[in-house]
Amino acid sequence: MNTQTMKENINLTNMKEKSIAEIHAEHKQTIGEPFCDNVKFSTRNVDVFYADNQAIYDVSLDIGKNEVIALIGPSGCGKSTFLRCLNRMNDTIDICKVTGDLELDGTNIYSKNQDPVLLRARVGMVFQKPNPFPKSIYDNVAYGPRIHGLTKNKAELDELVEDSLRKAGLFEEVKDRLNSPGTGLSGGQQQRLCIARTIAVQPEVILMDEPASALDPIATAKIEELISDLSKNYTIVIVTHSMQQAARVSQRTAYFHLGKLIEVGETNQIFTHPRHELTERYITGRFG
Amino acid sequence: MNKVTQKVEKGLKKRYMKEKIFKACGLVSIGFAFMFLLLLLTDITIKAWPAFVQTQIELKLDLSEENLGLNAKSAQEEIKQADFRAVIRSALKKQFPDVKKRKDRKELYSLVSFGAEYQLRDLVMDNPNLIGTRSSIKLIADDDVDAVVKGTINRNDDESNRRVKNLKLSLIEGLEENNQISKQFNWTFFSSGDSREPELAGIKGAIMGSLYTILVTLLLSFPVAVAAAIYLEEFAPKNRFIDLIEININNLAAVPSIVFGLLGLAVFINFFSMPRSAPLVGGIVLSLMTLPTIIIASRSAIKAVPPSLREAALGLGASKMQTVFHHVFPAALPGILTGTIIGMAQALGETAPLLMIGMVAFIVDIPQSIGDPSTVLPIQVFLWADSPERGFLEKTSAAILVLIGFLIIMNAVAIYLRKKFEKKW
Amino acid sequence: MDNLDFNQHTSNQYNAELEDIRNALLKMGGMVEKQLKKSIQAMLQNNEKMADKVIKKDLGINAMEVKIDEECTQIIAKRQPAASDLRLIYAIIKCITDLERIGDEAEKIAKNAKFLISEGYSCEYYKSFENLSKLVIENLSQTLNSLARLDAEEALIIAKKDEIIDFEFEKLNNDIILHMSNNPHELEKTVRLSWSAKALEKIGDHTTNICEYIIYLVKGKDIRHLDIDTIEEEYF
Repeated sequence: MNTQTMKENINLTNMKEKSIAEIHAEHKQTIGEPFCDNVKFSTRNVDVFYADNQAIYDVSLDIGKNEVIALIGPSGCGKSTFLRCLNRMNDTIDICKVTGDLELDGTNIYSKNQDPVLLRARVGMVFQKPNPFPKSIYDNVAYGPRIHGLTKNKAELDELVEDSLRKAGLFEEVKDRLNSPGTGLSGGQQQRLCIARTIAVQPEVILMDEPASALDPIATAKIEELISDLSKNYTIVIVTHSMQQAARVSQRTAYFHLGKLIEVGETNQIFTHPRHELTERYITGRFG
Repeated sequence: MNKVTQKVEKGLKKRYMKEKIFKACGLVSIGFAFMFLLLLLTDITIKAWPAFVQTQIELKLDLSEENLGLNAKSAQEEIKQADFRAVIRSALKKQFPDVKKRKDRKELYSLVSFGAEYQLRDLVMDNPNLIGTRSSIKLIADDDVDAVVKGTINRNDDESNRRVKNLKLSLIEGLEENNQISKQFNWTFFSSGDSREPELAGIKGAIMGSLYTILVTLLLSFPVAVAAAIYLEEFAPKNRFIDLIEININNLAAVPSIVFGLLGLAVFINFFSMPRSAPLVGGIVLSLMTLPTIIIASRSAIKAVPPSLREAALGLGASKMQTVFHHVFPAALPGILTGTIIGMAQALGETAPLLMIGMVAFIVDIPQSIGDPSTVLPIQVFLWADSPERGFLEKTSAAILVLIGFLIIMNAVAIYLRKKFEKKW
Repeated sequence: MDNLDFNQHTSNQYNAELEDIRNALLKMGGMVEKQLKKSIQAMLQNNEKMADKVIKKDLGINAMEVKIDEECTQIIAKRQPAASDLRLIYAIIKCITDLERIGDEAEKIAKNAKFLISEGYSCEYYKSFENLSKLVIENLSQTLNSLARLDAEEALIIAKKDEIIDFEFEKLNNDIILHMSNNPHELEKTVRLSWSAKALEKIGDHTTNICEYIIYLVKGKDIRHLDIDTIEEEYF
């Protein structure tokens, strides 16, 4: 066997190769296992429109209780949009319209009876850029419990703040300066503060929109460690651009492409032998 | 060195030269502006300086009981009625016994101000022990005397060209020889209201009028403008109606201020029968005028609040209202305050609309409330600049200085507030 | 996902690295195949020189294994390959180990051949030995072909043929044992022949392993230690 024939083979496969756009256009049905047992969040036939532009096409996906599911895909694939559907963050955008069934514990979150404020207390969110309030560390964490009236007195609130900071792995670092501004912390600490702030409301689901993309590797590692700790008690949906991160922290991975949910599966499977060609190409870095 | 480096090097000199020229242009512009400002301020300060000094004539007054027709137990009412003018005149007569002619006597009496008798009266009323004594008391000099003493009127001029005639000049010189003429800081300027007599005219009435007007303006425009800005930025639906409102707010900022005055006259005074010349109406009119300024500034301040802050609060389950008032508003406050102070400074310096609602009247009394007739600083400047008496020239400049002082204080407060709220984190 | 190609990465450098490593693998495969052929030839044609050459050349194969191994490590460290790329690297690392073993077995055959030549030994079983070697060589070269083409179907067919090799080896071995008991004075030499036959059988097993890696690479399923028929049913 010489290299000549091998190259011919490669050329042969190249000729058969379809363009990414063609594959995407042909894609109809999500490959893999979008549904699961022990469902926390179930979404069926979700379409999202920004005015006349459709951002998400017919996505059906189950999110299991206490699982970490990673949403990956190239920029503009709709993964963030989908994430924001889950706590109705899209409501703040006037031109955004969501159709389909999205159920949290069996109740439709887009029904008229569902209060978005209540929903967001149950489904917390951590954003891409650390965005602590320009207040003290303590007030940052205490803000959620205060507005929801979760604690009866100061002592209880203190305890809740400490507990949340501990869960976010930040308490030891900041215990001496709870009254100094949250914006004075380092990027990674700020992000953990944001996570602590989210946990303080005791949500059931935590949505994370690229939580480590603005952080250095060590801070990233801490956040990832934290995510795996949190997954014991919370259901976590994480959008990430780093495939290694998705591979490290999640149990299931969903691949989005141009608004379509292409493939869902066990993370191990997605990263060793994805079933869909687009997933394969994205994961191996063969994207135009 | 390769070709590219050579080319870059060739052009480098030219580029740096351009930079230098631009820097120089900037410096020249700044220098130019600064020079003019300095010129203006120096000119005004020099002109205003005499206004802060008051000339006084010290006279030996016979305040005996028979002279005044009073005794130590007289009631305040009686003191008020007493003839202090006669006391002053007799003191003058005594000092200059040579002046006999009726016309000359008049000149003699006009050495002291028309207001001197009231000054004396107030002094005696405050201090009844003076009754029955002979004491030297400093009285306010007439504006002509003031002008001669300060040198505004040149003594060496020909008599025909001089406002102060030879006789009076000799009297003044007589007083000077006796060391009876003295100068001191002009407290009257800051403690009394307007007057026809320059030496008695003060700015307090205008200051109080301005303060009341600005207070009304602030109380009305700040909450309204902030509420409007927050609603438009955070709550308003995006539709044509709101767009229309936005456009009109921007247009309103460009409306000539006198139009607001006309509006005030037609609506508030004629229709609602509010008092004329009052800070209340002035404040309302000025707040109409400053509203668009504050709204526009507040909106851009609110817009500048990073969306991540709103998302953070919403993501925690804060309601829209909580998000806005707990996070967006405090973050935008420094910008809002700056806009407000700019609007207030604009209102403080505004004349045209106030002319329309009668705040241009000659008002002697110092206003005690927002309903009292009053005038404001810029209008006081305008009124004095219009007066023929020489003494008002320096008062005009002094009033301008006071106005500028006020603006500087307001800006300083604005900067302080901004720093304070920004410093928070 | 049966169409694998390792081009079209966004990084051209990555494409080149993967292609280099694949070329090196195929070259190593070619070398090993040649070694095996030559060792058999040396034995059947009593060519001692050739046997020496084979023994010497095995060092080159060992060096090649080390080199490819290192390149694979570097790609893992630099590129963090995923999915098909990951499977390719994994399969290559596995393949070169088996190829190196095949090389060792070929060397063993050459050493045995040298001994037998020096003893001037020859017997009637050389014919069946030649037949067995032909089967093994054919399997190996077909495997290398399917490795180049990434042809999982062919790899499965080849893997199935290992049974025939085992059967032929068993037959030959029985004959040699019979021969041994009949001619105990030739025991030292017949044992060598038996060893060579055993080496061929082992080469067949290694070849089967390589086929399994090809199937893993293409299909993404690890089929080692599974029954071939179930594999066929489930994955093809």
